[in-house]
Amino acid sequence: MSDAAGLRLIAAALAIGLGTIGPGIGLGLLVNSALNAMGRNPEAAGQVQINMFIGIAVTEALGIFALVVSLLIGFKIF
Amino acid sequence: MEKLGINVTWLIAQAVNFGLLLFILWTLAYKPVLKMLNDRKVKIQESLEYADKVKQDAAEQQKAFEQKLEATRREMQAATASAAQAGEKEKERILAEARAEARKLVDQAKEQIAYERKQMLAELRQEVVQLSLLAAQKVVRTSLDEQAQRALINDFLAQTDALGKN
Amino acid sequence: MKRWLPILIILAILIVPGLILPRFSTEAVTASVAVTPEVLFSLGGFKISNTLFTSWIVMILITLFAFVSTRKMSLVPSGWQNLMEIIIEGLDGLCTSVAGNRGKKFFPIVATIFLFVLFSNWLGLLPGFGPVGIIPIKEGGHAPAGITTFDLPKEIANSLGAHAGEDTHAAEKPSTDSHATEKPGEPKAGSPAAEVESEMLLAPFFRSPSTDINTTLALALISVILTQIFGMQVVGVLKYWTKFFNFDKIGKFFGSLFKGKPDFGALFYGFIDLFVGLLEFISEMVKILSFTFRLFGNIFAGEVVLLIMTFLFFALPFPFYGLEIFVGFMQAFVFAILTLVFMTIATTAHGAAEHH
Repeated sequence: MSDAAGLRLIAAALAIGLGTIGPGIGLGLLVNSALNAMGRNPEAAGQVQINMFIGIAVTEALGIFALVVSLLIGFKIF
Repeated sequence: MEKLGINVTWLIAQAVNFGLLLFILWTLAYKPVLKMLNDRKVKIQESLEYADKVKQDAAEQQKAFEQKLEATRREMQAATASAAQAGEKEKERILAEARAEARKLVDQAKEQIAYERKQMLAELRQEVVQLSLLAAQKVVRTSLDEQAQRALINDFLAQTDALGKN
Repeated sequence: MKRWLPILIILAILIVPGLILPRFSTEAVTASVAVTPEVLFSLGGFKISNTLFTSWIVMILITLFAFVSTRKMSLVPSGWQNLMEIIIEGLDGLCTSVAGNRGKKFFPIVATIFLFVLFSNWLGLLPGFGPVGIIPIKEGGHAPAGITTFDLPKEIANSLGAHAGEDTHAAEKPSTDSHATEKPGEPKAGSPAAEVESEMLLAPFFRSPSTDINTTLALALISVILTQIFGMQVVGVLKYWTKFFNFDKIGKFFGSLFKGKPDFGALFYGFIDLFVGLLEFISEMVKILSFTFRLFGNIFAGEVVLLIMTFLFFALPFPFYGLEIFVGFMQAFVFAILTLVFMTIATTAHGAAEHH
């Protein structure tokens, strides 16, 4: 395996690895507070759940960007 | 794009697949199942309403029956009471009649007795007068005149009257 | 002692074959993992990929399920009808609870997405999906370590062969075959074409449609485009697009400019509106991207994890199978509910914002 190919693999791994730290923390906080809210106010659980899913979608998008970048690097697209 | 495997033909094929699946599921699953669910809902609603109605009817019937029963009972009670009253009245009437009869009989008997006694007394007095007269005639024919004789007899009679009264 | 005996037997059953079966081999993993779907055969000049083929199987399975469950509908449900009713009633209830009376409109799309994605995800977990396929081997070459090969008859190989002229073998892995030599033609750095050519790729017969970007992108596009259409339908075409391109306040500024009293506040807020609209527009694009890669990434990564676990130790994937079943359900659910939520937002949020 050449140096360039090895560096490419390292870059891809770093892209996904570092890129998911933030979304991971964010998702944890998000679900934490959503569960708190649901526990305190079970009648509003449905509404909270829907908003939680929207939040998850937005937060997770960042992790997905990292995945896309990692794929782009790993599959030699640039 | 090719390296990620994106291929316009396959993309369109998958979109068409999805459309096809949507159509199949719509005709084969969603429409009949949703209809069935709705039918069931309507049916359950109807059954519940029917059950409610039956329950209400039963309650009404029960009520009517109870009312009837109550009325009958009251009637019966009234009848019993009136019968008892009538009986009482009859009894009293009979009793009163019997009493009146008895009193009448007793009165009659008393009258009879009184009458007979009076009669007897009168007869007795007559007898006494006769006897006295006889006796007196025999005794005083010689010594006394008619007038003294009479007074003596009357005096005697008065005494015997008081005697008879006792 | 008696209690420990069955546990020991189970451990022995788990460990002994693990000692005999093959060890980890990077070549085998490299040959098996590919983002691009492989071409299985051609149908009238139209190349059929294995994921497309599998998605047809998925469609047939779903159709069969729907057919069997609604063939003899009765007011008192039983068997398959029960299952179908539970699924449809649940999804219908979800749509109604999220979108209110518009839920009826969104329901067919949401339910179809859910069923299609769920079946694809779970079908891809079945044994035989992924590791069994055809691998082209050059004359005199060897299959990568850990891959058992069988020679296919020439006619079948040619009819299946997207790689004509090469010796095609049916491959199955893992296996005890471990006498691999170096692949011919070490890739030269800087020449991607040469590298791609030198890679031996296993083309599985069946591959979950969710591990193909085409499928997930098609679903994402359908979801997002239908969201825009519903939005336009409910809010009104012009009004809907002002969500993205709002020139109201800038128009007001020019109006005030012609009157001779330029209203710079309107200009400022107009630019903010434009910027917000641009962000909204980008977020719609991001929705496509995130829908696509969320599903693809989760399922593809799950299958790679299972593959690598199999190569490490054959009993290792069992717990991961449980995880993948859960992830498969979760991703189907998330795809469906996000579609539903975005559709709901597109048909309400803007209209509600108008009232402020």
